[in-house]
Amino acid sequence: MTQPTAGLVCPNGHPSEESDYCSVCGAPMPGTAAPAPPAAPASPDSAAATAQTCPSCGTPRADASARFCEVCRYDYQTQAPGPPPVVVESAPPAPGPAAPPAPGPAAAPVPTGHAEWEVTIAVDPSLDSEPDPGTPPPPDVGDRIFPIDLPEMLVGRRDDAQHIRPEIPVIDPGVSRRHAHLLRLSQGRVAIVDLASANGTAVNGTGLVAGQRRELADGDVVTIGRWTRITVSRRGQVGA
Amino acid sequence: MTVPQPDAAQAFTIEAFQNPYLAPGSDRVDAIVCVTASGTAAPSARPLLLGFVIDNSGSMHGPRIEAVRRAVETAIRLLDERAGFFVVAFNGYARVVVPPARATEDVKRRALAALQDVLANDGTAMSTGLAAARSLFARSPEAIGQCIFLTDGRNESESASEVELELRRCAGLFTCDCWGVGTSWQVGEVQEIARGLLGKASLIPEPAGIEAAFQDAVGKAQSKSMKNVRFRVWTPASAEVISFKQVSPTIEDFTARAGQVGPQVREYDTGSWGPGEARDYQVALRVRAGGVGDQMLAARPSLVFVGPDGAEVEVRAPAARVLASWTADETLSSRLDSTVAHYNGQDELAAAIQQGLEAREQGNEAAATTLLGRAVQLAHESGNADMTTRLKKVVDVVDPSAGTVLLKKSVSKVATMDLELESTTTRRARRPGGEGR
Repeated sequence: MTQPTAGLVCPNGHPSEESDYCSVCGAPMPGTAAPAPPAAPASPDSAAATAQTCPSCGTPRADASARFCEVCRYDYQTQAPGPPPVVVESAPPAPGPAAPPAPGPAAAPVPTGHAEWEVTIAVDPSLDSEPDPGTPPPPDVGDRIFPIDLPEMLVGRRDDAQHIRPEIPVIDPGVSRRHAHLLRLSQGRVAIVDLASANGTAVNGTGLVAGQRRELADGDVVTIGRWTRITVSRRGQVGA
Repeated sequence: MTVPQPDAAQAFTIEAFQNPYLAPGSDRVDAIVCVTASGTAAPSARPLLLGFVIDNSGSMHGPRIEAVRRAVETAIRLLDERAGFFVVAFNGYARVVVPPARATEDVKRRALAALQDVLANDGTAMSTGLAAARSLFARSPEAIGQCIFLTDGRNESESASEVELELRRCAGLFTCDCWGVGTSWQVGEVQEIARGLLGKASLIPEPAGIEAAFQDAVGKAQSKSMKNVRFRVWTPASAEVISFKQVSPTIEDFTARAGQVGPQVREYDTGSWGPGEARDYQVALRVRAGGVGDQMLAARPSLVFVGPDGAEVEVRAPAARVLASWTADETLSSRLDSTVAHYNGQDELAAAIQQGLEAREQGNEAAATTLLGRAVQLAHESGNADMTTRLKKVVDVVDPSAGTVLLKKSVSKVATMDLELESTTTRRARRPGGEGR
């Protein structure tokens, strides 16, 4: 216990009844060698997670709750290495072999035949039934292609404040942060499940029941939000 | 009493968990303060006074009042002779069935006879039962006052403000755990009584369960050795307390209950404590923002109680200090302490359950699915297995880690009420130094 001590004055000139920190303003008292705050946060857990780097490719872990390395898809939970990278048809010519891996699966350079399916995300303003001049569709956004290379991929709106970082981020105010999951099933099949999104998910124009899996076929068109069209396609000449 | 007391200053260990580093200009400090009562406290010089406040309105007629008689009988058999007890029955008004007396064999026998005369009839006015208990507890200010409150219906014979007023009169005199039998009572009404008197509200689905609930309650009541323990927070002159909550074992917002002791000192009554008991508190402060290199004490938490000799004891600990240190290093200031993060998650879990149940009640199935799905995910992530079990009675879980759920088509009212009541029961944070519960 700290004894009330007479005659102590803090660096800000307050008479203090405490010898460690000023009883008026909380400033560290001189001479008592105010203990520095702990060198690391009180919890080693969070510190370790923050400082963690991917054992497979050395990329810092995005945050402690991120399951997969955002570059090579190393799985922190099962400690399984990520799938071999895939080539994307719209990708620019493969960079030189010495180039470091660029973030994001779409730019991964080495061709293999792992993911059998891919989705193309397109902005289609004609889908927007009630255009709002205040929130126009983003202009000049090209189609983005994502291979379905994980057992489960979140489609949704990125929200850093809530640590929601979908594998397939969509820029569309009508899309929920956690909108839908694309699932890679056995025997090379894929499916989608709506995660009780605010505005729903439609496949070929038919709305899905939240939580119920819908298997997808080559050429299926999924529409979500105000202007987002997702085309499902089987990659050519791949797999058995 | 000449019982040797352990050093009163050792009665509690207090430890703060936080990231003390703030970005320049930042003025918000969050910390979790974990308090554990010494496990070796000598038996208290303070006697226990246990009050039973029993609803005997018309709806209690038959198996319920029978079960209450048996349960009180079992409960008072467990009381040791040092303890005192009384029984109050209330419907539209209250009667003292057994006046306060030491729990000797003779008194217990007479109490059982008196209980046989309690009939169930008339309406329900809960404040009358509390008022009677208050007058009896007030006669024994030295005792640790614990109350067991049982009802089975709505508080239909008086306005809600009567209870609110009575709770303010009772506060500090005794603490009260509440039970509702069956599903015809209102969670909010009973919870208000438990919250106001620092206790917990629980559901007993069938009358047969009353006996076991009362047995547990007596065990808990007899374990208490300190009363009116206050959590004291000193802050610098420039700082203010944004919120103060208990976060373990349950979430209770104490912010509005602050007692201002001095210009920089607030106190919050935490009720009675038993040896080894552990509770965690969440403190949020606004301080005057500093610049890089500035450092200050943002809060000095301590515990205050009246010792066996009648003198006030304040327990402090260097580890309890909540600090603020401004740094330009963003990797330091952006870290979230894992204990703080754990309870943020438990807070969100409770809110998701309450809002999810409300959305379902209003027929908004999409919102209910999302919210209860988020609750399942949070319970799963934090290892709150009890909550997961309760949630599974209300939703079918498709994928707990993703929070994918389907609402069950038919859900029993017991499961819904139980989930709502227990939504604020948290899982204790794992501590770097030791294992949480």
